[in-house]
Amino acid sequence: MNAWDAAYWAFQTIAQVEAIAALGLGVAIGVIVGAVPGMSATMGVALTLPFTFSLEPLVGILLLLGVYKGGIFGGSIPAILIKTPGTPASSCTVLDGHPLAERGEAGKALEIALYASCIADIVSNLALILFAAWLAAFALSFGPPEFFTLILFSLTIIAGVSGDSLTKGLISAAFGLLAATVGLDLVYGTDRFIFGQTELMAGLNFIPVLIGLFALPEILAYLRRPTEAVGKVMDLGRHHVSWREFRRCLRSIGLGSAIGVVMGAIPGIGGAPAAFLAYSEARRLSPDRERFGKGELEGVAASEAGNNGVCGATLIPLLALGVPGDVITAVILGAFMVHGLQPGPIMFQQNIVLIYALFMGIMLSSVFLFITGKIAIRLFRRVADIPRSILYPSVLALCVFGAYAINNTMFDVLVMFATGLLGYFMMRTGIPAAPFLIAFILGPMLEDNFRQAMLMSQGDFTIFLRSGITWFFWAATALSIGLIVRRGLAGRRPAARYSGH
Amino acid sequence: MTRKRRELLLGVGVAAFALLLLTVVIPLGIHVPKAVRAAVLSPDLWPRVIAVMLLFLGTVLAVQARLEPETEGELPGAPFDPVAASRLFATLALLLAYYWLVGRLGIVLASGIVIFACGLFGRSRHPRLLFAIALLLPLLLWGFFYKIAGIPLPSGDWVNWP
Repeated sequence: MNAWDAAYWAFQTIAQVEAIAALGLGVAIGVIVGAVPGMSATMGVALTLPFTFSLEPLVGILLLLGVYKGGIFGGSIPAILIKTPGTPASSCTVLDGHPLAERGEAGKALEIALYASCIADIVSNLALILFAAWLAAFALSFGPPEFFTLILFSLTIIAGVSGDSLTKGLISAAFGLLAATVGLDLVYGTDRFIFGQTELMAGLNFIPVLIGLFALPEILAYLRRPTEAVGKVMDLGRHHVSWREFRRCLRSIGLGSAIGVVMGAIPGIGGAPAAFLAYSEARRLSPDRERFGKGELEGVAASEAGNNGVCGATLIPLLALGVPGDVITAVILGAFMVHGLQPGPIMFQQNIVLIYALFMGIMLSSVFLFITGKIAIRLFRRVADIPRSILYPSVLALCVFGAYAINNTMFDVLVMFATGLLGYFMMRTGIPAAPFLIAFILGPMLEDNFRQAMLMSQGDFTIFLRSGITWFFWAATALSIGLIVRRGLAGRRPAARYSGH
Repeated sequence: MTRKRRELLLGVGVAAFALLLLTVVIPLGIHVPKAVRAAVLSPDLWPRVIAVMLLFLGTVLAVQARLEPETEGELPGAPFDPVAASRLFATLALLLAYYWLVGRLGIVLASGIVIFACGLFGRSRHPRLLFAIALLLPLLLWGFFYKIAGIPLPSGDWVNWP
């Protein structure tokens, strides 16, 4: 099938009511979830995932992509109106967004946030379409040793999601790798950590683990100390973004989009650093840099373009190589697997119609984001008013139904409760949950490719140095670790100086 | 408890867990066939590597905490809050009760009861709204999963529905 035929069939596939409705619904759910303080885009994707089991793979994945994209924009609404970022990626938007709201120009700040998000989203989607197929074609020559070194490099993304302590991030990842070893051994078919439980033979299912880690700890933390704390919601005001103001922000939007795309394509960086870098670059290049931080529209535009520019680009390594760029794409990778699909170069050969349909859907999501965003800005007050004492019990029921629905067994509900407790313990001790999940998903791939390579070479480790590609990934891993260590040392030096050492 | 002491305990705990894995859990929990061709293909290689990693990381965390200078004027962590602790245990009991109730009343009724109980436990000031949500949400979820997706939901020993 040539590219035009594939595009034709992809259009036929995407031009169905179910696919378009799922995308629109996903964006709407994402914007609402992102806008509710205390919920995150990851939690939104996790809770929506069980609802996709009965859907066609394309429809289900479009629903999840919609939640992802909507969630990232949705986080900017509370950031501007109540000075509480709905997602970590929108933390930077607070800097200028809230001062604008305090001046009675919240409507203007939200409008420019929406325009910047949509433009950056389109740029990021175009980058995905242009680069993913090229990268996948290159990756066709990969064998188990190349994939092993690639996944090893991808595991260094854990440094990016480790928060304050790299050691704790690595501990979390090691526990994730350990949890992924439960089940039957793939080479010899013998038991690993099953202890007589037949339900564990297929291993721990990723969805109860995901829901347990990302949704349940919030519920436990709320019930331990219930508060209805939501900041004062600012009025939207009657100001709208003029054409002149929009034109003035275009340079920052373009810059933020480019930064978002580059940082999104590199595994592990994510939306928040992209937003801060875009913001600081926009500030550095602006003639009105002293107005940044006091309510400057360009600041909101740059940070929103930065964090939304990441969205499409994080899908480049996911679709082309089968490795996730951040925690949400790790969840989406799991969703592909749930639907019997394995992202990577082979998918570009065997499921090209699906890939093209996904590209078309992703482009369409920017339009839905614009429409839904316009409505959500007006309705935010109602979303912010949802009492937590109603929200969290409802989320608990969603968690239980979702965990049960995977294999129709209450055992998965128990697994979800257990990982929820683990997640709560990790939250209380400052151990980040994201490395656990990424390692849990990448772990089996790493082990399988390692053992396949060992089978191929009869136990000879030099197979991991057999090609330029493996050398490249070893070098990239070494460079990544070097940078992590350097960053760690740089972080410790001021602390040591401060404490007199 | 100060942050330094907490980190130290965490590091020691992780290292102890790793030792337990290496000495007890892996030998008991992983069956290694006698016909393993090479040590690198053994089913217990990967878990052992991870356990050694945990041992190393736990030790690093403990050493980091030990070497960390006492910050002048560092306040001790939040004092033990018996009310919050008892609320946490009550929440865990609620989760276990949820699991038990699903087997007795079915997932729909159990969810309704737990949503209402959980909302009241969360000091909800909207009992009527909470009641309506407790009634409607499980029915909506039942409608989606059972009627649309065709997933059989668990019924209970006492109430055979859905």
